[in-house]
Amino acid sequence: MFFKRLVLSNFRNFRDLSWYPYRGVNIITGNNAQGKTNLLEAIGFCTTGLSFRTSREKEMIKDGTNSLQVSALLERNGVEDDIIVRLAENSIAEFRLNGVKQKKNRLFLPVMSVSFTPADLDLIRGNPAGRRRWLDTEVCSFEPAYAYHLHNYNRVLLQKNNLLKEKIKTTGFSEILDSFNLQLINYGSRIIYSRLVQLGKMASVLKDLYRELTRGKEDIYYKYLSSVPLGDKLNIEAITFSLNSAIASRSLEEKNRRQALVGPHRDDLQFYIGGMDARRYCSRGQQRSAVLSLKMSAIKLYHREYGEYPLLLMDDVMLELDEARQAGMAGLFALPLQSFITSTAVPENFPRDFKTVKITNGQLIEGER
Amino acid sequence: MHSNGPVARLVDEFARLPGIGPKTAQRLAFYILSQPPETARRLAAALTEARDNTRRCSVCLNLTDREPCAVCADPRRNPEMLCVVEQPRDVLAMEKSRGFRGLYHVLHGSISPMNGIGPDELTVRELLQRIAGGGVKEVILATNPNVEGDATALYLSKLIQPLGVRVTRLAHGLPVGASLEYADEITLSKALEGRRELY
Ligand SMILES: Nc1ncnc2c1ncn2[C@@H]1O[C@H](COP(=O)(O)OP(=O)(O)O)[C@@H](O)[C@H]1O
Ligand SMILES: [Mg+2]
Ligand SMILES: [Zn+2]
Repeated sequence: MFFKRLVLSNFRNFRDLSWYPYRGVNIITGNNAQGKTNLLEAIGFCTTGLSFRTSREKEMIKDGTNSLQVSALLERNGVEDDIIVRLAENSIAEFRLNGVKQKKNRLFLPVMSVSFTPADLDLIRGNPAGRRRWLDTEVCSFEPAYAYHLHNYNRVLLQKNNLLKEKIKTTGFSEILDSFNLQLINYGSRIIYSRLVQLGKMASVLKDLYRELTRGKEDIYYKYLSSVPLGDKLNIEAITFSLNSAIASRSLEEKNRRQALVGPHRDDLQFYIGGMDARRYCSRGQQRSAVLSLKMSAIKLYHREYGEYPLLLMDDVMLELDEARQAGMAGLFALPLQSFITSTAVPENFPRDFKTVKITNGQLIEGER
Repeated sequence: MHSNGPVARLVDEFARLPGIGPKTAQRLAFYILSQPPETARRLAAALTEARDNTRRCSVCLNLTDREPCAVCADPRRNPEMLCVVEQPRDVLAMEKSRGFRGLYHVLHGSISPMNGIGPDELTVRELLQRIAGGGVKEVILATNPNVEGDATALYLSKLIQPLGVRVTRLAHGLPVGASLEYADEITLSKALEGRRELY
């Protein structure tokens, strides 16, 4: 899919902007603190309903004004759609598709863009929560119902932890605990199942892309490390059964430590490159290639599922990649994929043709090429 | 204007109400003050009268101005079917759907440890006494289809099943995550038809 036109008003340091982006690679340059990331954030907001930068979304409203609007003319499957996102100081964000108000989930599941920021480069060596968040985001874009399961799971977990923390002596404690555990097992097993399905689909795509990117002989693979003993069989009933017995066998420990110790919120993903635990033993460069291939796999799978490519948003990562890795991405940029890449300098020897724009203090100037 | 004068107090009172922010509170206050005095007096009288004449029905614990409430007093309703809901507004939604001809029981909330709400904060004891009193053959648990509503339903079914009464859960023909209050009338009737036995 492509943005044919993008219009911002009162979005961060942009008072107003109207832009007809290129269908291929758009390189957004400019000095620091001019609004490059802001522009990317606006595109992200208008394609996912979320900011990739902040959870306090009202800070996107331009200082001194009280509402922002981002609108985009989007072409997908040959059809044009008009998307408008409006956010005012005193109310929640409003989303419209061709003039008609939409529920956020309806409009943005699956999301229409994939973002890649410097924080993603820590995916492999960072903490488990970051890997879970990445995986959950991936699954969401292939299985919209996953968002609902995850939301409910987190809610159950919050309630269960509160119950364990404060309410051991409350009337009906163990029956109430059971009723939250039943739900935790129900949502938790669906979450684990969907994660495993997604990881299964991604494994071979990732392996091929990693080889292509590094021109190497090393293979990348991952293992899902679960707090629940999982057998080889991939079915919901088996996972439900395991989660159920794991919770039963650790219930005393959960009561003593006053927190939920079993479930997908304790799980992790371990990457291996050339047979070695990537988190501990692999170089920064190998880890970077791994993350890059993960992002590229997501895009390939997205296309396989929906017959379209999402927009690709890359913030400040281009210059962090050496020329060999940039060249390794040539295949990705050869696809009919619209990308938005910020960079303080125009990369040399970029593998594809591209157009540049320059951002200076919230103003956009179209470049040559 | 003084920040502790009568106008400010009125604004404060409005702002305490659910769903009303400071700006709306101000608008309401200034609207009322811009109208003739009768407007304010009528509103004040309606508020006091409603409050003074409303209490919980001793049978179903719904809010009522009569004892027992109109539903509980209606001889055409089937006392063998009891529908358990979270809030008085859920009774209104069910009544609008006209799919249900039994009696209600209002819990006044749902189990939520993070808000300090357990069975003792709800009308669970009254519900159990009512069922133990006999005459009830089926209990329909129509708490909201969310985590707390489901927890409440599971908890209640555990307590009620040993009493030899059929327990069903209002099927989730409702939009996922939606509260009963927002369900439109058709889906609600459908959900009632499709209610299922609780495990
Ligand atoms: N809500 C806002 N209103 C006005 N300006 C903002 C707002 N939020 C951020 N900015 C400004 O945006 C600039 C940063 O833009 P950013 O896109 O992060 O820069 P970069 O070009 O380095 O990526 C800063 O000058 C900051 O003051
Ligand atoms: Mg930046
Ligand atoms: Zn009554």
